[in-house]
Amino acid sequence: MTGADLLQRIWLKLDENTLFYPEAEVIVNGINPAMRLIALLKPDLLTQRVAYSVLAEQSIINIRELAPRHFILRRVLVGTITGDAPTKTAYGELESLRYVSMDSINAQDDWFGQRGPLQSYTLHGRFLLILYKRPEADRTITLVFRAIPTAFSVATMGESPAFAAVWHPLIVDVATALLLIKEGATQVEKARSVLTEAFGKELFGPLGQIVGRQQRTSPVHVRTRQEQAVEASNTP
Amino acid sequence: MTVTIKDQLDRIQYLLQENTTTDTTRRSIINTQHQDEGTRLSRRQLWGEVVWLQGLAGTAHYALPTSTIGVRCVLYNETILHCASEEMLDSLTPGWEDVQDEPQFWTMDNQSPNVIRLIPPPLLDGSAIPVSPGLPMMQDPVNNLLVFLYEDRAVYAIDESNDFPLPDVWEDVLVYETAAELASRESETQNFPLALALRELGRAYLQALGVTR
Repeated sequence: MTGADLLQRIWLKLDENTLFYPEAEVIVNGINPAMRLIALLKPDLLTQRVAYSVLAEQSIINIRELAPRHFILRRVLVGTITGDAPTKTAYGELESLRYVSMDSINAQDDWFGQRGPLQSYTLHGRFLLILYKRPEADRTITLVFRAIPTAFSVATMGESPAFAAVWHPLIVDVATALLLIKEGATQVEKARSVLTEAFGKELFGPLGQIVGRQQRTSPVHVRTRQEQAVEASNTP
Repeated sequence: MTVTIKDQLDRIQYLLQENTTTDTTRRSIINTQHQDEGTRLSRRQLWGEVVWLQGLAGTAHYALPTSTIGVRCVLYNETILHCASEEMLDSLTPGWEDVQDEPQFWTMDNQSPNVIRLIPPPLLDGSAIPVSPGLPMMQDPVNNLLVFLYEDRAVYAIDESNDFPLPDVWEDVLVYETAAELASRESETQNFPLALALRELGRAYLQALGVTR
């Protein structure tokens, strides 16, 4: 299915209500977040690899610039494994780097000044990759990461989602559910059951339970509640 | 496709069914809430940054960017400085304010916001001349400071023309959290079912991203 096919399927599910759900809205609040939600909750669906040339002395890499659609970094490897055959570095290296915590690295006072073969990596925040030790010569590394698919825009609806075709109907279901939420309580319940079915687990409980925990507090609702209470107390 | 703050605000207005509204004041309110939610997310110390500061002989106080959420570690001359409270310094080195040596500790106790104090202050001026080829950064770390900190990236999302300053996967979290807050506000347009559903959706995204409340 292309993006345009997904759009048509979603509109059919929304009773062809293209006025209340214009194309731009279906894309940005339906198809795109649905694909991201599926990728997040089924992270095995989309794994990507990217090779990067680390220059001598470079120890800090911004993954956001290198792989803007990553969300979990799975593996960092010295060498290149993006093609059919792995390629060793010019120094004959092809090995995974060990992940260590920032605390472990900080336990060595002079870790930043140490130069030598790459041994391990850590993350500072969600998108700064720090290599240990600092390489003395240029190296190629490969990052393997869970990714979210490329988002659609009005201009790219002729393309297909990055997931296998078998998952495309799921995108339609999830996108429809996410779009329906704005319509209020009844449609939220419908969306909840669709999402529960789609992911095999409840993303959120029945609305009645949640509302029960958090009573409405707008002046209109408070006033209505007070009037109902007065009426009830006046009823013989 | 580069996502801008305008795209984010458009999405929020679709959710709130305000997409036909041309009220600039309302748009501004939504933008402010979007920034607030960005700051709230940043306070979880998710966005790391490395800041270079020039070391100056005899200068103990160094100002960090105003967007600083917290400091992870401080390096002087490529070596870790230990974080210390004033109480620790009092018991460890009486008269620590007067010690003349290379910096060993840093503290934020009794300092202005976003200011760190090096103990003892540096003995040498670091070079501010950019190094070639500029790695790991453009400035020389020798006799200078590198501060690994967490920053508030909402400061880069002020104008509608700004690019969304976070990795793409975080777009939805901010849209849902912002729309949930606006939909739950005490007004005649309050939409509690929407607000609650969006909050729960935002929570599901955060859980999947390994962020716990």
